[in-house]
Amino acid sequence: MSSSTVSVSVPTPTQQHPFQRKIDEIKPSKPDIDFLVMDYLISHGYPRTAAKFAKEAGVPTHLIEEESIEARVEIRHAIHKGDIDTAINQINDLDPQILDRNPALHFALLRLQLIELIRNCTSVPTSDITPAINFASSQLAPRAATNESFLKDLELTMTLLIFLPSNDLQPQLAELLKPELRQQVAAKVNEAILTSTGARGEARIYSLYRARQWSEIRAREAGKDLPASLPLGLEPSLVQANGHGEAGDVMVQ
Amino acid sequence: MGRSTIPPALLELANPSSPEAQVRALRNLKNEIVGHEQRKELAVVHGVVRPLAGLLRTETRKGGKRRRGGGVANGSGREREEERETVVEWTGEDELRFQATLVVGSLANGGPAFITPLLAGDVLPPLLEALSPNESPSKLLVTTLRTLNQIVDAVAQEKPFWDSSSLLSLSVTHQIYTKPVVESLAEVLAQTSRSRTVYQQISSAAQLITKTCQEEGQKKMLLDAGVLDLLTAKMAAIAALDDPSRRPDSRHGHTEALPRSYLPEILEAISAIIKDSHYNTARFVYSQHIQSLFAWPKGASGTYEGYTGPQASSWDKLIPRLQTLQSKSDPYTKSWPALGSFASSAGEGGSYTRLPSMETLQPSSSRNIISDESETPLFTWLMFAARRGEGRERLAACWLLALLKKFGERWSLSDPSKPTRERHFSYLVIPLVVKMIEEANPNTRYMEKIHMLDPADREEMRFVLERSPLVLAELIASNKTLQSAAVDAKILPVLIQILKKSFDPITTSTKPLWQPRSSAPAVRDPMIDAASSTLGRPGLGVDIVHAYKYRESALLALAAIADSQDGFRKLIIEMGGAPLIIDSLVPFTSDSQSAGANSMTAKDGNPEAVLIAACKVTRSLSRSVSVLRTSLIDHGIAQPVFDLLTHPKVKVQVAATEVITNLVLEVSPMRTEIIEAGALETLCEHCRSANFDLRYGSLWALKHLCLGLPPQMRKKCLDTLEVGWLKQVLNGEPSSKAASSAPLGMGTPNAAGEQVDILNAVDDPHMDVDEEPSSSEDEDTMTDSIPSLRRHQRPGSRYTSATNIRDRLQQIKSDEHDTSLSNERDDIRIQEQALDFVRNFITEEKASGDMIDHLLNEFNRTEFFELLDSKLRPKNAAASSTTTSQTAPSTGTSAPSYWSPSSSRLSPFSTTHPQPAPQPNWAAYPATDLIIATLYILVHLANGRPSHRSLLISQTPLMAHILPLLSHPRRDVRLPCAWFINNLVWEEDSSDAGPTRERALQLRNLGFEEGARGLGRDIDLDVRERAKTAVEQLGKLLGAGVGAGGVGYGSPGHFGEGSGLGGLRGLGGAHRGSWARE
Repeated sequence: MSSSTVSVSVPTPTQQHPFQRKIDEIKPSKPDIDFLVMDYLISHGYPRTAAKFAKEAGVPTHLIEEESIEARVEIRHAIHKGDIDTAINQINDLDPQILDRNPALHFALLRLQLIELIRNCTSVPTSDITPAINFASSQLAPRAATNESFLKDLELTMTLLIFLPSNDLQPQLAELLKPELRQQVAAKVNEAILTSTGARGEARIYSLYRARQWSEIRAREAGKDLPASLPLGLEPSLVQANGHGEAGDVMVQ
Repeated sequence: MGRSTIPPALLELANPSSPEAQVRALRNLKNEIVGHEQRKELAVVHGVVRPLAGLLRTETRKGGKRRRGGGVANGSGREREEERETVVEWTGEDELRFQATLVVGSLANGGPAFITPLLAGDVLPPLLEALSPNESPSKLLVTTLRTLNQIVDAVAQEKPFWDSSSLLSLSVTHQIYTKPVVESLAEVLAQTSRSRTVYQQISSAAQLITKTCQEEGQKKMLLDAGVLDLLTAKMAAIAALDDPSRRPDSRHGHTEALPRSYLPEILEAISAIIKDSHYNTARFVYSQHIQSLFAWPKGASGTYEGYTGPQASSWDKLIPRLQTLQSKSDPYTKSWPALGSFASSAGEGGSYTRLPSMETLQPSSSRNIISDESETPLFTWLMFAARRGEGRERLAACWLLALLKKFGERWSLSDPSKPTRERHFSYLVIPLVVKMIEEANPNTRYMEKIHMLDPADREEMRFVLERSPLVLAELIASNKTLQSAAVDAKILPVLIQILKKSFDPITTSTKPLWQPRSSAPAVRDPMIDAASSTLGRPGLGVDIVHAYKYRESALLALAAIADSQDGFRKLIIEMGGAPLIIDSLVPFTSDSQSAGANSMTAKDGNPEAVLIAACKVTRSLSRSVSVLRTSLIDHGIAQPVFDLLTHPKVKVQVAATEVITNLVLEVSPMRTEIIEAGALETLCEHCRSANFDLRYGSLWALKHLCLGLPPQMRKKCLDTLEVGWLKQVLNGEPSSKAASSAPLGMGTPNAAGEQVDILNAVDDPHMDVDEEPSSSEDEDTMTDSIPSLRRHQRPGSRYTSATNIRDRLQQIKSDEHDTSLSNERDDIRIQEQALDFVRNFITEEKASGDMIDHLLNEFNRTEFFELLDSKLRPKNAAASSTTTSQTAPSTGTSAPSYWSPSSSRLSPFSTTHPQPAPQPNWAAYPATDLIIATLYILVHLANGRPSHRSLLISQTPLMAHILPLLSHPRRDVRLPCAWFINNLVWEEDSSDAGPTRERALQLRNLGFEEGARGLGRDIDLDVRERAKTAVEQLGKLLGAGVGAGGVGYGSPGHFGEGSGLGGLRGLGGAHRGSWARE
């Protein structure tokens, strides 16, 4: 994250920069900020928090539709747990188009499922690996033939069958078993569902954040008089969020 | 879940054990087929469609009854309604229908091949029945709409087939456009609850309309069901949030507006309904929602100043005032430094005397060319929306702007002056679209990554590429200033690149799926219905459909740019456009369709839409004689165009005919080639087509073909066409005879000029003879060719009060929908072509008069003169002048004020109120264009042998009817009159002196000497000069004795043989320019 490197630098000089004064003069409207918060809560699937926040802040609650948020939360949860079958089922209940029209996402989910199958059947030394092979040949292989990168992913995944169980996997393979992979896929799924319902795929705060970054870079390029650093005040919390997951990982993409 | 669960699921569906088991089976089936084409096929082949349709059908009925009952119980008030939507319990049946609908949607995602069995299994009717929000639960409704959209999307990939009756798209739209379905759609759109599900329903319904609404009848249904009005309300609600006069604190307030992310769908659906229909556009523009929000028009005063009032100008804050564009930091000023295009248009705009601001305009100081005029608030908001939004939203706003601009050119309301509008468009709109095209250019590196994008983004990029050139084409159509603005923005090379890219072989991303087992031919169960279990023909790959679409738009954009300026045509050729255009003229043949979907590339010929677009560019390019003589012939354009003349689709034939029209002109080097290929016969045959456009276009082409053809060929042409047919056309259709008694003032020149559809005006093949020195005549015809110039000054264009609006709508409606009116208009247009054909038929290099003799023999002399006479005399005296001012301003009153920029000087007969003057009632005359065409025939007849001149003068009634035309308000009528007199008194040689004197005497007795003197004082230089020669000659003939005739001949200062004939030929050329421009 490029801005975090900037933020760690020396604290701002004691004398206030004219730019800082300008910033202080601007009073952001409360409804706007509330709206941003709500938007974040909804798109990231915190229905109850959103409802409470709405009550406190006096924001209209019509945007909170428990059902769809709930569904997204459940799907995300299922993916995090590795219960991909349920996740796919629920996605298809929402809108089969999401997976029908996005082969890459569908493939990613199926591969997760395959990884789980392999993990299960290799956990016990004597167990049968045919379910994993059957699954791969019926679900993933037809798709894999159409796309180079799918094929590579599938091959890589299948090598797990050979090496597992093992404590010393190649980093490439180890990646596959990390929870981050699930989180990544879950985030993509969340975005796809949001897009399919006509909402924006990501919370607005991200685009605001990027716009701010962009304008700072542009302003510096143009040699505008800016303070040496413009901390956002977000950075430390960001690092934390990255540590344990859900909120942060989308940010890092 | 490794093994396929399809067979057990199907078994359960065919023999249901319990609803729960059925739901389970459906869910399993759905999870099986999503994302797996092979399994979709398997499911269909195993006969899943019938049971699905059965489920949907029975459950629709049950569900409907239940809900209708429930609706009465608790359906009062919006709050309750909202509650009901969420609270009503989701029953087992609902779940069953829901799952079945999802399965249908997933099958449809498989492409057109799956639509055939779905349609055969009657899946569509129950889906459409489920559209009513009162009868279906909200969640089911969203899903149903989505599934319908999927079906429509799949149908769009259908291959173009010759036999259009079997097209899936027809059958799908046919089922959608029925009264109950459209009404259900209206109900969906009418919902106001603020829930995301309802938003989605509205958005899906709008999308469905955008994708399917193409034909006039469909538009009318949507209009009648109030769909346009509902959409307009949605748009206005969104726009209201941007109203600068609104208090800011209400922004998050309790508004019924949809979130702005739904704006593109709404705008697109509105555009789909109003496109190609001025009446529908008027309904949009004059709708209550637009009127009240945009305060347009203002108040009852209806004065011009009205709309610069405080409220209207508050909208102005949304877009930059163009004055401020001169600040250095502004990117627009940098890219548009010269203001050149504006300055040039300001010259044209000089005739807009109605605008006080334009008079104060000082072209000298270009920095200060500022008119304080604002755009209308609706336009302002749309420009704002276009500038604010991106992607789809921006395009949708620009598209609607383009459609509205076109409407404004035809039925001006309180639109600003043309320069102001052009300025706004060229500074604020065109650059946006140009930039979008540049960014969508598939050749840039950014686009190479397209396969990495996720599907939604990729779809949007495709859409932008397909749509942005089309939007540009529509924006700049028939407007030189905007065309220049687009070219100045360097869009031409980009368009050519895009066009080129569309021919790149498409790497078939659809490699066959790998199959785990070798597929044994499935054993067909004889119990399964064959029709609904057999896949249909595979469609085109998405990439190929995409390539076709953006090829078409790029061609249309090129056609629009090359529309009227020669320099741009040459640029297109220089950039290598010609071979690409030729490739686009190659039709999709039956050979190429037999090939499988996978081997199909975009190079294997083109579907109809691309062919038509390619014809349009070719036509635009062929207007330049130099391009015609060099590049077009080099690339062998004639053959492919000629081949398209016999294309099975009549629309393509019409488009090809319009190109041929330009290619068979005398100046065209391809003329012989085309004639030898047999164009003459084909065109004559097409003159009898049932399709008016084809008849009209073919006759036009023949008219061009005829000019300069050797006499033998000409005679053959007339024979093939048949004199009887020509007579019939010249006499007019019987229906128009009846209509002509209705004194609607439509038989007036502006009526003939103002075609219903501006597109047609643009479509009219016209030929700029660019070598012609630009004479005043040329300029005048140019003004004629820009409809808006005339329309702007149409008196009474301020329609303010409600009654006025109703009248206005009525007027637009009758103009568009009244068939007798449009028939009459068509009739006038084709008669004009027929008259011109006759004229060209008798025009000869050497005025031998042979062709005239041939024509008179073929026609029966008396009948022929009677026919000409009928075009020059007032129609039934009963046609009174009482109603003319009501429906449309009659030419008699308004023509002088807007035909000629110098009208104020047109003293003798252009008094603004003709009533006191003893003027003939011009409204009772046939269409002025017909008068002109007829007069030119007479001019050429008079240019024949002396005997022809005598013959003409002896046609007393005819001559008597010509006399009043000498004082016609239009110089276009007076000029041929002057030529006519001139030619009549022409002395062939000394032996002709006596007869010439005789003719001169007769002319004096008929009153033509006096008339010629009148013309000699004409305000128009051309007319005056021509008339002076005539007066001089008359004076010589009548003043001096017989002997003096020789002297007259001996002093050829003004009227020697060379000047007479040469002048005439020049005139022919000039007039050719004018008829070609229309």
